[in-house]
Amino acid sequence: MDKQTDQIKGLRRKDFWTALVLIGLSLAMLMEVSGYPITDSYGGVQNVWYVSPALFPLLVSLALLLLSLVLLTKSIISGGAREALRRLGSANKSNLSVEASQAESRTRVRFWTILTVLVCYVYGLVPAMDFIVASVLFLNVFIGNFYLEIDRPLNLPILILVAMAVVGLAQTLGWLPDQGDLFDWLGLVMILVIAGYFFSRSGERFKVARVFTVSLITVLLVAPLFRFVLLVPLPHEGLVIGWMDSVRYLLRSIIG
Amino acid sequence: MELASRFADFFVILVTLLSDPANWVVLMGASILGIVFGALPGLTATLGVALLTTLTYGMPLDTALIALLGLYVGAIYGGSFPSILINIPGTAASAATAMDGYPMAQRGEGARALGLSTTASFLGTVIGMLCLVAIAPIIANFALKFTSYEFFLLALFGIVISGTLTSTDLVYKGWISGLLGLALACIGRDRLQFFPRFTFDLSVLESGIEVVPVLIGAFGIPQIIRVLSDGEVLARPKNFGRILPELKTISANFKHIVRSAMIGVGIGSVPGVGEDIAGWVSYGAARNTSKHPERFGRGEPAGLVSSETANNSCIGGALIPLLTLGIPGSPPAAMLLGALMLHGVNPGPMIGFERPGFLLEVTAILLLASFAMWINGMLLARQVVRLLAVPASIFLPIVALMCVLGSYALGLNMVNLYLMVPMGIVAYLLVRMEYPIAPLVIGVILGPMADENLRRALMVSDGSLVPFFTRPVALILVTVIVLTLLSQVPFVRRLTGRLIGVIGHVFKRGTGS
Repeated sequence: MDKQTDQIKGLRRKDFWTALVLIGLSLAMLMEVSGYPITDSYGGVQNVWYVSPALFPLLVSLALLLLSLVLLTKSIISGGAREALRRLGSANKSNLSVEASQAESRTRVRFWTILTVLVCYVYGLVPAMDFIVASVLFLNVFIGNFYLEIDRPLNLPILILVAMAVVGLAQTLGWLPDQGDLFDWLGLVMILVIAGYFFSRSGERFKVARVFTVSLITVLLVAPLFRFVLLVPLPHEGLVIGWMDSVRYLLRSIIG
Repeated sequence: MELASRFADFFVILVTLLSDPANWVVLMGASILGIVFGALPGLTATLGVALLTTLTYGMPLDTALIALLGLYVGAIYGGSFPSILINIPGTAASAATAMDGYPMAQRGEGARALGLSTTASFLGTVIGMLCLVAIAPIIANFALKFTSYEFFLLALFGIVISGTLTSTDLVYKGWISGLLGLALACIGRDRLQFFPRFTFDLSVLESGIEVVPVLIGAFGIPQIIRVLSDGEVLARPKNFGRILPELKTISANFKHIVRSAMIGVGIGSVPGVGEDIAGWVSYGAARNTSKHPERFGRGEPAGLVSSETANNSCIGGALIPLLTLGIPGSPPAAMLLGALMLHGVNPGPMIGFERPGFLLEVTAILLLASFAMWINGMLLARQVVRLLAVPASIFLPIVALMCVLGSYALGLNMVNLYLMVPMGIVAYLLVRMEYPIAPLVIGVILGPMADENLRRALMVSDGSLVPFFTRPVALILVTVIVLTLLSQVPFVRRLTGRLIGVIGHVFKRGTGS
């Protein structure tokens, strides 16, 4: 029961911040909508309020504002707001036991690890690196970190992934000249470096080998399936997909 | 006579579907994939349907539907495996199954529990299918009389009711979630006047936000983050014997099956409220009507059978509003709607004219899917259970890869992929603060329908709101929506509470004297 009331208290505390964010969002929406034509003409049509493109977003943002205010009120009445502000002021943010706070910090590390890996992959690697190389690199770091239970926030594989993603992003944005196949080669080398790191860090060789093979086999099954069977062009086709294409043409010429 | 000809049509469709060997392969494959998706904790039916949609893009419509419905039926059933064997529901739909399934497995009756769950799920799907084929044409006929007023209110009703019923914390958190979905749906050029809304002069936003990447992000990413960051280690399932259909126990629980199936269909047909709630409600109903309520929670087959029948019959129920009104009855059905639209099918009252025989085709596929599920369940359960030994830290990163590829491949558009990640992170934060995600998704899907129909309705009435109160169906919908909203206002609650008290008091005095 205690745990439950604690949980509800925690929710009301978070509701305070959410309510503020939602109020900000709905006000921003209202400001944006206020610029839309309500009765003036758009595209040569004289408007009336009830056909205006502003009507629906206006209703939605007003309703959102109203509910966020209700949420804020609830949070203030239940004492969640006071608690939220108190925590903001005091250095000692939590009164959890050592074990619970350890678990909480581990959850936080894992959350940020997932986020970093995902963001690096999607925004940095996918647009700039050969899809197969990028995906093997991503899976290696992602599976390796969790399956081998490396709970250190800044480990070498993650740093490599971040660095590669920064280079990739710079290329996509045009800050760096396109490196072409060189970037893919670098990716392949980094996959080996990461595998080497995991081998040196983890005592369980079998598990490390598993990380490597699972990443490799998954990508080598999925990417060609999309590229050659479903005929979906992959986001960036570079070195390895180029090799696969050559193999395909070679096979085709042999078969006739 | 009409019934006989429809029956004949149904068999013709069934035979046509079965005459293509590719359909057999797709059906069995999708069903197994569904069971695997359902059985692995962290993967859900919705996510399965979302990811498979990408693969069905190039298929003909009937094969694509076989794949999607096969997976849907399989996933809802597959969730019962870990519920029974390790007390962790594979999907939320099977949460109620664990109540009696796990105690049965602990008693050494794991095989019996799995057999019961397989047959109950099969019967549930079939009864849901029968209800679909019986009820859908009636609703579709009725809905032909609907105009913009009713469609706007239906969309609003869908969001309000799914927000109300899926919230685990404060009810208005569900509504906020629905409003966020509606706000997302506003992005892009509006469909009546082509005015750019919330596009911030970015040309990529002009066509609006695509539903499928939003769904993949909103259902996939939170699951990946939640399961991996909690770092929960799953127990190893106990060994079990041979799985049999358990027809004796099933026939002894026949009344539970029929009742649960009806509950499942009813709950399924409510917009956005899905299999998980159907499972719990029918479990509760079974306990309340049982002669031995004390046995529930200790391994009572009736509890297991009720929950499993209801969550599978919910599928047929969820398809009723989907096919007749274009409103999805459950989160996986929302995904199915996205898939249908990709294949150029626009479900709604006109579907009977645009695509005659479509309803019967869906029904036939649902029947095939339930048979495939039953056969796979009986023969392959042991192999699927082995998969539970694969740690989440290996399969969830692979799912992340599929989410990335899936959200890109549907429109070959990098913007969808770029949107999927922030969408997923926001959805994760919302889930952490106990906002339900289903209303958000329903909001994104029903937003354009609500917007367009509201303005069309007001155009017809020259800005007057009177028709909302003079048209009978509209009035009923307005009343339900207003009552649902008011029921959450504390003042109204107190007032009704007092009123009931006063009436009760008067009634007592009246009968007492």
